[in-house]
Amino acid sequence: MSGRKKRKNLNLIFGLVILLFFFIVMLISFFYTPYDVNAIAVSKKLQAPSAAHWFGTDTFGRDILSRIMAGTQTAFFVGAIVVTMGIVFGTIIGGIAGYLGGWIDELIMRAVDGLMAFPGIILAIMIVAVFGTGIVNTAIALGILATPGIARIARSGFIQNKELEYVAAAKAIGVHPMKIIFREILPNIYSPLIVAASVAFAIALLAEASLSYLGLGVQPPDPSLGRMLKESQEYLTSSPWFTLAPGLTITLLVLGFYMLSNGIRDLTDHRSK
Amino acid sequence: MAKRSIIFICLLIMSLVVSACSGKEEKKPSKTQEDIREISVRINSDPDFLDPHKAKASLTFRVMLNVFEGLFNPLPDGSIEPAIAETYEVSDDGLVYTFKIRNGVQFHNGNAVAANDVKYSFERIMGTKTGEPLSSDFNVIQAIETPDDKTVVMKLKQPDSSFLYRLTANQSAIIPESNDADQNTKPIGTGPFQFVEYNPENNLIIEKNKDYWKKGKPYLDKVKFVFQTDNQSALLSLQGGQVDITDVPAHKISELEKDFSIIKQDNNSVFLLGFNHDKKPFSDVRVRQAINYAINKDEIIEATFSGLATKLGSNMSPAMGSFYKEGLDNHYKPDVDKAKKLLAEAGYPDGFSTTLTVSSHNEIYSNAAQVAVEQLKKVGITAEIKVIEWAKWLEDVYGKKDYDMTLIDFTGKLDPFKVLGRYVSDNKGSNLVNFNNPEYDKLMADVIAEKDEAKQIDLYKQAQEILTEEAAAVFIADFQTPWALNPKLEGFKTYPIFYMDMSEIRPKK
Amino acid sequence: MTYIIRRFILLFVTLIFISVITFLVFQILPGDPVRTILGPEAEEVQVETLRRQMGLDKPAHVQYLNLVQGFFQGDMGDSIRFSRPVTSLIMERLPITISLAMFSLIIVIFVAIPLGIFTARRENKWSDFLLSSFTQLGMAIPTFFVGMMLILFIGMTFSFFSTGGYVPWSESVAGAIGSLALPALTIALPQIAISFRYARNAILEQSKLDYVRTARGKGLTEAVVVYKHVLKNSMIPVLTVFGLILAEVIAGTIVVEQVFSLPGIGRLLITAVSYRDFPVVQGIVLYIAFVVVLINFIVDILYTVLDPRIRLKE
Repeated sequence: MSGRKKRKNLNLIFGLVILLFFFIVMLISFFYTPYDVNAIAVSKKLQAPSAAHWFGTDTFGRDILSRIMAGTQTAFFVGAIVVTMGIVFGTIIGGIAGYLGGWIDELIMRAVDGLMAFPGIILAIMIVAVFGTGIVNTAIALGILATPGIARIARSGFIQNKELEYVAAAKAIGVHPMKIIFREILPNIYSPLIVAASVAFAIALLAEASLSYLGLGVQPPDPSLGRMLKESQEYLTSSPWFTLAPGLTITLLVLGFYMLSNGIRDLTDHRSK
Repeated sequence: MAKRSIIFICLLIMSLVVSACSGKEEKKPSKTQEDIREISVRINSDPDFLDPHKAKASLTFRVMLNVFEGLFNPLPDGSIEPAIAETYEVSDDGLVYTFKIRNGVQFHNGNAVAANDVKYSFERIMGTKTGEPLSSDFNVIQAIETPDDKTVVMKLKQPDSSFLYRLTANQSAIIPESNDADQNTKPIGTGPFQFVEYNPENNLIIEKNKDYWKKGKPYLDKVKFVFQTDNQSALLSLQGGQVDITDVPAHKISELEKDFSIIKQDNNSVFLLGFNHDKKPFSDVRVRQAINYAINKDEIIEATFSGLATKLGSNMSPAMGSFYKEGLDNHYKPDVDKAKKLLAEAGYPDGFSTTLTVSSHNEIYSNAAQVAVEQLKKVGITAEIKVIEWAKWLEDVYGKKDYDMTLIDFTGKLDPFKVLGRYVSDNKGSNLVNFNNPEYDKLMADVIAEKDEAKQIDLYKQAQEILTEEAAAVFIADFQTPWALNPKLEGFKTYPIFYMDMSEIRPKK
Repeated sequence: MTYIIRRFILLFVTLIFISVITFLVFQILPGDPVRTILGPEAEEVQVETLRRQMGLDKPAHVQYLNLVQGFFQGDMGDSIRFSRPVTSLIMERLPITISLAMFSLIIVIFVAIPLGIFTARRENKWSDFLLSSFTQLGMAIPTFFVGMMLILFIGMTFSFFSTGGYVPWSESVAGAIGSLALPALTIALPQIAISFRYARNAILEQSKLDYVRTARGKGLTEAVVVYKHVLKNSMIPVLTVFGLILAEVIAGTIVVEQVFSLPGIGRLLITAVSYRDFPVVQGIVLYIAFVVVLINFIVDILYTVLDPRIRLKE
């Protein structure tokens, strides 16, 4: 892989461009959408795309473009909570397990394995059933889901680092283990964690969409891209734009995060060389 | 090795193509013969219990009323006719009902129906012997006697004008004692069809009862009820010929009209926006009226039911025939100014904030909620939609009455007392909105003791007026169910209850 | 050997952990199964009677212990909603879910490996980027959106493909293939995107090894080198990846069964959760977890068994 150094990091560029675009769209949607996101105009329902409604209208005559713009808010919000929860709890759990090792490590990792043996969607369904649906609860459920995966990555980082000289030095002068975990080791393993965060963001977006599609995630009238897809399913053949617009938006958004994560990985791989 | 795998892939592709072509031919409606005696009917969801005394869900009876009968059977116009009972007499004081059992009625196990079976069925529901009642519908019965094999005498504690309505299979199916323990797995009744098998989340099959007491019926040999939740796939099954009868979404009617017979059925249900009268501000009648003025029912009907619904004004649908009080549906014409004025009078000049809790199990609730919330916004009421699971809705909203506003559809009953009785103040179970009106309670007490039908009708109509004037809820609509039918079939009868009468369906001549 | 025993014990511990979690979740869940099954027409006396008859009035932990006890006797308990054994409910649906999973896996194998071989032989910067974009795109599309697109563009055009419902194999083989093809493709697509890159990288890595150079040096034709040597050796790591993919495929069936209304395990699970049918949920969750853990277990063992052999050959 020697030729790689000179090559442009296309993943990073494309990923950033896509995400920047949607981020700007989201920012705009706070101040401006072509139409009121929730305003109902039954007489204008299920119109095909036109100059007035670029992406057409839905079953209530609401502007699909406006709802997609607002839907990106939901997506970023859910993603941000999931990633924050995942990174914070994942690092703490993984850090403790990896650094302390022994039976604590064994115990934690078996619990992590157990959580990961649940197909994610089942666990999400059960968590949502307990906490109830809605944006915040969906985000919390998915945050819990993201934690074990990140904990594993964090743990392996800690295991690799804890035998290194600088840690041994810190130990020798009697630094508190918690301080070693967070002050000394953490700054040295941030790059796999950033990659993991970016992937977790992508997975969170997909999972939110799946849950909302199953009717268990974000609830009306809050706009959610996954829910829009569900609402559109019955009209798939007669009004395909109703499905296409939110579907392609989710795909692009998730793609952006995957590209970003690969881009970052390439970037940090170089540096380490 | 590589060559072999390439050959294998080629073979796989070829076999797919071949099967694709052969599949196409197969797809043509398989029922080309003129006589269709075995049909498939799509039902949205599984039955709750096959045992008719345990079952309560309307969808169950849509299917199982073909298997069970009561002393009386429902008729398409909402009245009832003697079935297992051939004749009946009521004593002058309204306390003693004497039924003569029809000759030639037998259970699907071959045994003739005797007076004992009737007594057993009622006592099973009442829990007389076991102490475990399955319903309180027959608490009014003092004693059941069987002077001979063909006669059943029921003695009531007090006169009850709606008693006869409770004698259909919906509330009191007649079943044989010999099948007591197996009734939920292998149900036995006296209906035109007998139960064959039930495969959960897949299908339920019934076949012709050759010894049915109505000679010449049923016409069909076999009916397969298939359970499909998803409308889209039900439509594809209909178009593919795998299903002969299904309900369809209203917006698909125009697409289907040319290939299928479309029958629109009045559900006799009441779709309403309810509010909790025990909570402020809904305890104030002016607030309730203001909300009635704020809601535009036509818009909700258009958005939720694609316009296919009858607007209501009180807790009764025109499908109830003579009991229905006309002219209440426009009592509150949408009027934002009037609503604001009423709110100001009630002390809420700037409106208020509240929540609208709906169940997620059917899209109609969240759809209607979204429209209603936008309408309420115009008069200054900010309602937040809370969508919860059906299980949670039943427990919190319907059970504990822990809610501000909600949307629900009350399914139809034959008995007008059952329809209106839920607003009686001491009816803690089903009085969802906590309606409390002494005048209403008295009317309902009077009507149960009233023997004259004309006077009963008058009292029922007065009760409906009270519900409207007191704005007990926003009574929105009775939505219609559009059915699409294989055009080779005829005889589809619609009832004001959830009942798909398969005994009248026959191939077109 | 001790490794295998250790793993077996861990498998057992994991299943107990999952079972307890499921039970605890159901303790917090609002809603009562009998009330939910009967709906709003239910009367209080009836709910009480039925709860008693079904043994639901006993304390939760007693019900749970009874259920666990049954487990050790091979009895998963009865469904509350359908009043029949959970085992038979799962068994009725298993053919659908297994057919679907196997069908997807076959599609993945027969598309991903040839694609991997094909692309491995054309290695350059731009194809690299294009292929990785393709992979990422495949991973980025929500499965149900793929499903809907397949319905729209293929299901609506070719009547062979059924877009909803299931035709049993016993009824018609073509019908079964028609009803499973699109859902299987839906599940397979993202997995193809992931696994073909695995295959490609494995092949590329192998072809840079000494023995390949030696083979070429001996004057063997390119085809022989690729198919006889490289492919054989590079398939071993790829095969282990398929274990993980199978786990993904099983999870994928849950959503896809909803999109195509296939009455499989996933659908049963989702309705069971909404009806608070604890024995069914417990049974399915344990079943799926068992299969997933078992696959991972087999993959691990496969890996440790295959690993030394690979080294020997090198």
